[in-house]
Amino acid sequence: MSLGALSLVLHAHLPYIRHPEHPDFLEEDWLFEAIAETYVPLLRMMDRLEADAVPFQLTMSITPPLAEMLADPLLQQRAARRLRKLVALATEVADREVCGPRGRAADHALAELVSVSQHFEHEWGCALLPRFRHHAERGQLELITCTATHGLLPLMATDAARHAQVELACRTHARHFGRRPTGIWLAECAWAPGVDAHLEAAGIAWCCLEDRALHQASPPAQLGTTRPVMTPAGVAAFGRDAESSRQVWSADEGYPGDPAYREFYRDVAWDLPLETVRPYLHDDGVRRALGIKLHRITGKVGLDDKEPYDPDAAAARAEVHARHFLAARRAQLARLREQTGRAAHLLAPYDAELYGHWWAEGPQFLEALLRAAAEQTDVTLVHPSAWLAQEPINQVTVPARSTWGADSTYEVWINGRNSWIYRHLHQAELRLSGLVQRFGEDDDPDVMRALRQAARELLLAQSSDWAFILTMDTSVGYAERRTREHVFALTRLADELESGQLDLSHLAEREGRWQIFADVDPMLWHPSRVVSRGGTAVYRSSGSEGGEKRATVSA
Amino acid sequence: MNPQSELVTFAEASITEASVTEVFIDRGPPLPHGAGGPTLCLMVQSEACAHVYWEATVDGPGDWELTAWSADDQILQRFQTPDGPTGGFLHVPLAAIARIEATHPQRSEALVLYAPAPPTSSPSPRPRRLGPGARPTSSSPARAWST
Repeated sequence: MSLGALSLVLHAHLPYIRHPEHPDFLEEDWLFEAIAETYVPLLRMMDRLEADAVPFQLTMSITPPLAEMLADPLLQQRAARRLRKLVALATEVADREVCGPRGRAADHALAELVSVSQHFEHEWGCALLPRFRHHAERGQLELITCTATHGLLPLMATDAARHAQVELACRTHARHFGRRPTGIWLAECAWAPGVDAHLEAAGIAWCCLEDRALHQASPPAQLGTTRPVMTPAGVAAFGRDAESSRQVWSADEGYPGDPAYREFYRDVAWDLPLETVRPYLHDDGVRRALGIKLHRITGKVGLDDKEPYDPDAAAARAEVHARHFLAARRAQLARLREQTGRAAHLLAPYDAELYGHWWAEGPQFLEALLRAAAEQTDVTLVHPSAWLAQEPINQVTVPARSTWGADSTYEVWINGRNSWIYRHLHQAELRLSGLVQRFGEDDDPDVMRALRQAARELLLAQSSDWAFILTMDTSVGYAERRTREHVFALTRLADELESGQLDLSHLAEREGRWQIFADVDPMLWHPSRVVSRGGTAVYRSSGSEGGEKRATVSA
Repeated sequence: MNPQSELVTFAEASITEASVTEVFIDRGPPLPHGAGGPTLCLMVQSEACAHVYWEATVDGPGDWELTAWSADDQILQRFQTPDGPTGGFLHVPLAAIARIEATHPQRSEALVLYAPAPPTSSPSPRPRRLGPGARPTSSSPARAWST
């Protein structure tokens, strides 16, 4: 008999970065690294499990911008080109290390890259989405969505913008995967009361939240995060299980810090002579990580003192950790069952890019875990949707405002480094809604093109990644530029529409550069089209002294 | 914190990186100036902190003053923004805030935002008065959000 259930949820996301105006663009590497180190390895894992007839239940959010990039022919070709270059470098590295202590690690790196390149370019034609869809259609992978550009719904000004982020995400998901999603990963797990109305209106049945959202819900969730709760709008909210998260995420206690695992920060880009790595760097010639790493974590020693990586020893540790993780969940579920008398559900969500990119052995850990889970019955792996179908009656409560950031607050996304962006984002929301009300029914196809492009500009500016990067002080110039560029472009389009003087060459240039959401419907931002029953944005504004009016955005 | 005497001078954090390199960084085009209408917005960061920004109808130099008031008309926090920045952070329990006011005595202009009423309590009272100091002769209708 099963003691309870476990849902493994991987959140796969990258901001939309596509620069056709440059033959080679640094920030596009984020996608290429994720393809090589996470997405292809995860798909190969699923293929192996399918080939071995191992049943598994895994849930993944593939965010709309990531899906749009993975489907983009330009980025697909650039990713393939990047992989070919890395195979060439790995070959050179393997030749150099052939008789040395890092020879085994170099051979392993080369074999991995050759395999990834072979699968990505030659077997799958650079198209990963059909592979994800294949596993979803087999019923073993549940694919869910996220807000359209990873926008934080509670930090938006209008219900129209929130509605558009959710509805467009569902439509984009359906376009890529053949059906609308039943679940959503709210960007950064950002929740505030009222968000659920937009999810419910879009047909979303469930979402993932930080554990604090349930523990401090009003009234508090009686069973903590061991059961989902139902929000007032009727959306199930699963809370992150802190115990299972800590075992993977924690820098001190987490598995990825094991001394046998590959060291992320020691990369051949710094180990090899500059003339050797120069052809693989960007035009500026600055050494940056290339993804070929030959050392293991070793312990708390300096990068120069890291020992050679042993792939077999690392694989053995991944197997041990997978069995430990499963045993820990079994004990946790047994304890919870004893305490509550009911089968509990645990939600274990992670960034997908942790598996493979940050933690090289992550996919091996996951595969070992899924295989071990298939051999026992105490812990049942389930999709959250399946758990809800099985256990539809849940406590109704209002989850507390929260994110999965530090202290569960919004501080990462709104602080002294990035707060300047919000007045512009809010104004852009209002500007677009105004344009849609004025021109949304226009017969002129160029006007509609301009409206669609204005919508894309707003969506791209709303990505939570820019605020995050500004806080973390990495790639700050790029994040600032993207925010400014999209707000500026929307403003220019709005000015042109309102003056009746569209610059069609500028419009075409923007359309060509930012090819996301080809079918975006500007009417999503029309205030009258917003279907919201939760009173998301309740605000009051004062008129003259002594007067008061109350406005409620929600219908 | 002594809510009666708290006076914080706000200086918006620099949004530029330190110029330690000569590499050109394209930070993008200029942003539009002004929100197109009087605006006062409060954005929740945590239960004890919120970002507030505002936009007025008239540009020009001068010190704005932002005040967070409790339901019993006590000052929870007040800060000034010398020339330019029209935003800052309130570090007070947000549940205690009944309204916030952005005032500019020399412009006879004030923006007022009322906290949403908790779902289980009665609506907050009508505005009784604007904060102490030079009392504005009129207050602008503000577009305001509580996110």
